[in-house]
Amino acid sequence: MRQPCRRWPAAIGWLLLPFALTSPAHGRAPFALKLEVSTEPKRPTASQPSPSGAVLVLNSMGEAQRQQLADSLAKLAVAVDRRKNPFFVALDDSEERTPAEDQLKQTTPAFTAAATLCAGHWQSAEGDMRVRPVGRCAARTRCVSLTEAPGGDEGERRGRFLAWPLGYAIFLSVASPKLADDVAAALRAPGSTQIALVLTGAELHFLRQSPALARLLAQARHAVKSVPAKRSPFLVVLAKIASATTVKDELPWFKLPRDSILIVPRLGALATSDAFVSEVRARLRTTTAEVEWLATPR
Amino acid sequence: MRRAYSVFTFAFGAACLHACAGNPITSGTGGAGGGGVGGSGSGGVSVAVTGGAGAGGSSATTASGGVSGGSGGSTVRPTGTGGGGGSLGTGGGGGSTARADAAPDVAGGGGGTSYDAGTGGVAGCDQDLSGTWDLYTTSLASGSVAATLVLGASGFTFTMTRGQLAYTAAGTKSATYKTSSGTRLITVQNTPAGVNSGSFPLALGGHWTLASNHETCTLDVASGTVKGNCNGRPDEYNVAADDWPYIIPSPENGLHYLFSRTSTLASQFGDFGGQWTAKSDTGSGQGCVFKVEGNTFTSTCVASNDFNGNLHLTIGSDCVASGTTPSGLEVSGRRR
Repeated sequence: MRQPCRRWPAAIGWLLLPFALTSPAHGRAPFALKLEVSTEPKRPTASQPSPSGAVLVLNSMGEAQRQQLADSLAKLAVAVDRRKNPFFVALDDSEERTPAEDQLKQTTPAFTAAATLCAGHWQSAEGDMRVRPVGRCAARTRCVSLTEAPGGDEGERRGRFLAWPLGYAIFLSVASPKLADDVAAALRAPGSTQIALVLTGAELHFLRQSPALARLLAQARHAVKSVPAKRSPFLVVLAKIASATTVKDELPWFKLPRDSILIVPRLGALATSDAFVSEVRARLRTTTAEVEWLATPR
Repeated sequence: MRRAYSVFTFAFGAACLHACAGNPITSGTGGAGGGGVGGSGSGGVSVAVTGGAGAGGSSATTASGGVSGGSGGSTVRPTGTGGGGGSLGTGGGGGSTARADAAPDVAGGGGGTSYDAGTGGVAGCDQDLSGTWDLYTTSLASGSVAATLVLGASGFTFTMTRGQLAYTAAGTKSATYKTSSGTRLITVQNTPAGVNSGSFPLALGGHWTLASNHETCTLDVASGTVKGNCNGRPDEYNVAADDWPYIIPSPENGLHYLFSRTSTLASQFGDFGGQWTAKSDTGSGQGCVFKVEGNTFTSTCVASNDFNGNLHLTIGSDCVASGTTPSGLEVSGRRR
């Protein structure tokens, strides 16, 4: 006796097939961030309060780097406190400042990238082009998909440049948030000349707590209070770090899955995207994780 | 320690003001062809031919190249006519240009491969840096700040939030620096000499005199050596901000700076390609070593200031330039 033909399950299977074929690896939602490029004439907008970027910079530091900076600031604090002793006469404080300054100087590319990213929108100097990150582009705008290979027309290339922390970035995805932490740690190895920031989806919004961070923040707060209030790049950076815990989420628009990683190049390395990508590839070889490249500038 | 800084900063000042103070009255006839889409002929000193109107004609447009370049059009510079166009990714036959201060015309050669695909016929940046550039520089306060540079044979305009530095090379040379507090004029005089600056669109060679307020600086640029000197009022230590735009570093008054090329290297900057040393006549022992090779510029300075260390600048194949200073400050630019 013939079995009745069960067509419904088969039909449902066929209907679901396209979704199965297009669903991203690891079962996550597709990466949807786009750059909306607008060229309608508009006067440059007035300057707004500058973003801090300190949360991103601190999160992009590995534990060893945080510890190293905390140590330098601790030495600075000891030296500054010693000078408060009326019997201590210092002729020159450069020796005490130098280690801390050198450490902070190394964070300059990261702060540059972080503050630019946190601005959340970018425009040319003349105001003739504006770029903002969106999930869906508005009508009559140029829409740049970050997951597609760069190229396209002049509008796209210029838009990517103006929004360089996203337009020249690498986005990676791994199987789990825990694995993302491990891969990000590997990517943060010292000595990079190309990478400014390495951040997981979770690290875009909240400080990653650690023993070294607590010590670093305490030392930074102490140094800001103690060091003479002479405005300098050194103190600007120090103050940003000291107040990192009080800064609200500066990237509320940026919904990157927790199992994904954002790698931002240095501003000074935009001309060497090949080297940037090569460096990331080389660092990934030190991990065994299976990594999916969501977006790359090359 | 101060002296070494000045050696380095003088190089920057010279590179900017004097680089922009030339008048490359280009002339000559085009060879056979220019670039198609992003293509550029390799035979000429500079080939920036767009797809344009008929053979040997000239066109005011600078970016009209299609998938196939048209026949010869005009160059970005006021050069002679171009020849046949190229096609996507490859240049056509080379054109020729010759600057007033450079060697005789160079005949156009075979078409070259473009590194600047898709830019509509403007020469690749390895050939000619002329054009409008979006710039970003590090700002600790706000991350990065935008500026614009318009660079061409007839001068340049550098516009930033705080003001504008403009140089006119055509006719009577002059430079102006405008800010919200007023306009400052810098007079420029030049006796040209033969120096090939490669992809840099302005002529650099010869004897230069720059004067503003109480300062007068002279610069002698020859193939292989650059000499500079500034003098102001007796009580002025260096070229101060009321004489010179603050965006350009200030050389120290009374010192003589000497840049000497110790070896030559292939570079897109013509005669400037090579290893260079920079020093002043202070005998301090501090100074810099420069290397200009291919599309990169690097310097290593021994100094007791922020210039101590390495500086690097690269002009990428897609007309994106970027670099970093020893102090971690960064700059990046992209030609539109």
